[in-house]
Amino acid sequence: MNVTRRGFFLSGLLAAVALSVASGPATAQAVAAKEKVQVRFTWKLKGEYAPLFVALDKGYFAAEGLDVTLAEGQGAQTVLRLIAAGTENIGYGPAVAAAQAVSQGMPVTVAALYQTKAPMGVISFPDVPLTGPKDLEGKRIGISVGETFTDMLEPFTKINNVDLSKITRIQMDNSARTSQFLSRNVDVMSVYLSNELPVLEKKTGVKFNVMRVSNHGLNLLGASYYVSSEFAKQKPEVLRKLLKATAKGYQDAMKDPKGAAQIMGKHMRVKEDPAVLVAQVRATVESTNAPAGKPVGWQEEAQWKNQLNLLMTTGAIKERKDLKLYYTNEFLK
Amino acid sequence: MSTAAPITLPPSAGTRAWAWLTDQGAAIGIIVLIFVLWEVLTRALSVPVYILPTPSVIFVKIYTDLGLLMENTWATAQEVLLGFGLSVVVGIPLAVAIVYSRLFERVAFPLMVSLQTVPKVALAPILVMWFGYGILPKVLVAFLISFFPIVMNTVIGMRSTEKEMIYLVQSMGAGDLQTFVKVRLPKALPSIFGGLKVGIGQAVIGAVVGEFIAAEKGLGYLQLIAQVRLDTPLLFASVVLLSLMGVLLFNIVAWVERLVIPWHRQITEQTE
Repeated sequence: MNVTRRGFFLSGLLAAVALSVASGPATAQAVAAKEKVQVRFTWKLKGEYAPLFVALDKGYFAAEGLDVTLAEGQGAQTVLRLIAAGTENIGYGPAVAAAQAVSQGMPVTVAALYQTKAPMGVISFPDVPLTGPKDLEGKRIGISVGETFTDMLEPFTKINNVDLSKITRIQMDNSARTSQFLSRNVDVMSVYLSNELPVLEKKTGVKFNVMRVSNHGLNLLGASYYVSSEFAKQKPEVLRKLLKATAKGYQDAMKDPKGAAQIMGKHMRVKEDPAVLVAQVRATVESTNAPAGKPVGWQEEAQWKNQLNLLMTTGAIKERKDLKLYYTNEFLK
Repeated sequence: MSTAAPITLPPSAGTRAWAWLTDQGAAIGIIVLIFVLWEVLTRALSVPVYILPTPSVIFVKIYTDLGLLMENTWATAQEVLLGFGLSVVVGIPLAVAIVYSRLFERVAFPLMVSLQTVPKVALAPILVMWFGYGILPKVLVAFLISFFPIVMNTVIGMRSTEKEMIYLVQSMGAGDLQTFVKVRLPKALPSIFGGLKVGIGQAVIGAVVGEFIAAEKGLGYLQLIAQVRLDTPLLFASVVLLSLMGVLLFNIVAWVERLVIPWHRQITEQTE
């Protein structure tokens, strides 16, 4: 008797689990007349994304008739694959990654480029001298597969006449690079001045030596909009409006980085230190691509040519496709 | 002549608490000792908080960020429960099919084993590519990682029924369904619950693996953020919550087990 009753209990439990699987939380979305657009960042929210949040917060997207959602992502490669697969339409991340994706034949393109000299740098503790690339000789550096500076180390040393064989390269997981640097197991580390550096300085209270790679001939294309080629064909107007509103966000952030950092902080669910955010936004707007007489985000052929040449020499791309496939200024006009 | 059984009174609350304490005292003592040592050593050696925070800093972090932590715990818990639920709903019928059909066994087993040997962390990016950033890829990773122990244990449990027992009920006119419900299933329940207990822990791992690849919320997501921001106390706080959630879910399964098969508990306690 007992057995069957318990048996019923078990099947009841199973049924309950099944029901909860079937129903799930229903999210009713209000019907809006505005065009819905989702932008997928390639990383978690950080100060670098402030100009887009300014555009969102001040209603610049809404004024263009767009209902924009800014969503977090995890790595440029994943975001690009999702766009190529048609799961998503628009991404926001480093253009270098898009160049690799296009070279692999993915149907994506860069619609606007906000950094022509990505604010990347190499840092060391104050007691480890680092004034120029030559100082890298004799130092230990943490490298990891897929990390940008790891890929760029060889051309960087070539450009600057540094003997690569004199740099001790220690292979490690990307997530371990910071802790290895802080525990002094490596001497130098590559960082984004607009992201990791302010965090590191705030947490450790140390003022690190910084060598900006763009001061030494290494120009990497940074923040950009990725769009799926299909979406670009179907909804060019939406993209035009998106870029127009984003440019306004950038202009505001350039005028008032502090205000932009405040807006950014408001939108972060996991709160970040306000001082860190301000430093991140400052580094971002200082490196913003706003050429005189052209819209913010305008791309030049020479920039892309140089970038692709660089990527070919590092082996990051195997094949160079038609330049038109990599980028377009079509939606900035 | 019959002898009266000795009358046993239910123990008072005080005696029960004392019994519990003498039972668990050693374990609690060791945990407390570890925390005290940890606290004292990290302070004495002045280890920077971004390398290793003290337990007190971690507990304060849990207290101050409780809302954020709970919100993300709930997100992960949903993925775990849905993934685990799916494993139960798919795994147990699958096991029954394997036990009853040789053909099915030959087809399904190699597939299952090959799927099981693929590291789920390798599958997660593929699932994300197909299903995007929503809850589905995490649920599927949790499912993929937790369903194998459930299927295996159910199969083993059902096969462990003595042939004589089956012949006996069949000779008394029991059909296939009755044999299943009255003999095979009850006999298999202890083993099934063994699988469920392994499975629930695996589901937690699966959900976090999924969140590491692509997520907008959850404890794994929070860990990644804490890591890039060098917020080591938050990193530890997420791990503590994750571990508490795992223990709680395990205990819920164990509790259901005690409700469903009380006789099994009596048997195991007798043999102890």
